[in-house]
Amino acid sequence: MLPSKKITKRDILLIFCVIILGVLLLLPKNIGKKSGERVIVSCDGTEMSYSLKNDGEYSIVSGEYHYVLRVENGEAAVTYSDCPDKVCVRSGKISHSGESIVCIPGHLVVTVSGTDESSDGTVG
Amino acid sequence: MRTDAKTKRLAFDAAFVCLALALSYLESFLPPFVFPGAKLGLTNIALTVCAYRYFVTDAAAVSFCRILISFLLFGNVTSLLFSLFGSALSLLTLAVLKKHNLGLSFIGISVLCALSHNAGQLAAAYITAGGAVLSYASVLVFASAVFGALCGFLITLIPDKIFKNEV
Repeated sequence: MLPSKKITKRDILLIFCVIILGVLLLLPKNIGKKSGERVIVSCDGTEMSYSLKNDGEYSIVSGEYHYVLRVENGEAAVTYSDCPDKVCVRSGKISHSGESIVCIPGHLVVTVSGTDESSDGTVG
Repeated sequence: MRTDAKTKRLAFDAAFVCLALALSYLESFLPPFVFPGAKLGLTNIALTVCAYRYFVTDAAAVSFCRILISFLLFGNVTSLLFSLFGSALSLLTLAVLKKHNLGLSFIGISVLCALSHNAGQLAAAYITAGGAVLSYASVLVFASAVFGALCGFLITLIPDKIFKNEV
């Protein structure tokens, strides 16, 4: 027996549930959003951190790929990447604590952290 | 007759591998739509038809060959891992849904396959890149609903003959 070729009530119910699930997953990101203080870049096991208060452009090498991280007006964004899919560049700007930009091909993770504890440009 | 049917099945499975490969290649040319990083999942069309025409094991073999050939042609270890996780979970869902339909049409089936495929990929991403990728989950869930339904609709356009081994 082949499944129906016409959309059924169960289909609509399912799609509705999936959309609700998507909305629910979206919620924790927007609740208690705080502006971040620092941006932490981890690539290939090394971690660097930059202050979001100081504007600047930083070039990062992770894996086989090169990136440019721009910090401007308290927001961080990957503005250039030579990785194949460019998801990191399209992710746009991040500024709130907990937000992140991930580049899978280059194993790069850029996260905004809430506390301003370490000094600028620390390599750990 | 028996060997005839076997040969035909093998030939069709091989054709499904080609189709899946061509669809995934075609997909890589499409510009990313609304959801960054999410793909349409056209390959799933070939796999679903294969699973309903023969068995889910055939679809699994087709999927595995497709991924292996993709890896040999484009050689990306990360995407190999991603594809393997995604397709394993998606095929598992397909196997369950083929047994217990739950009153879903191909559209619902396709949405669930897309959802499980994305869940598998997210699991692979979690392993390679860590917890930060989980913030991406909601985008993938929305993408599954939209792209899954679209692929499911495309499946409904395929004539019954192809599903029922009459061609």
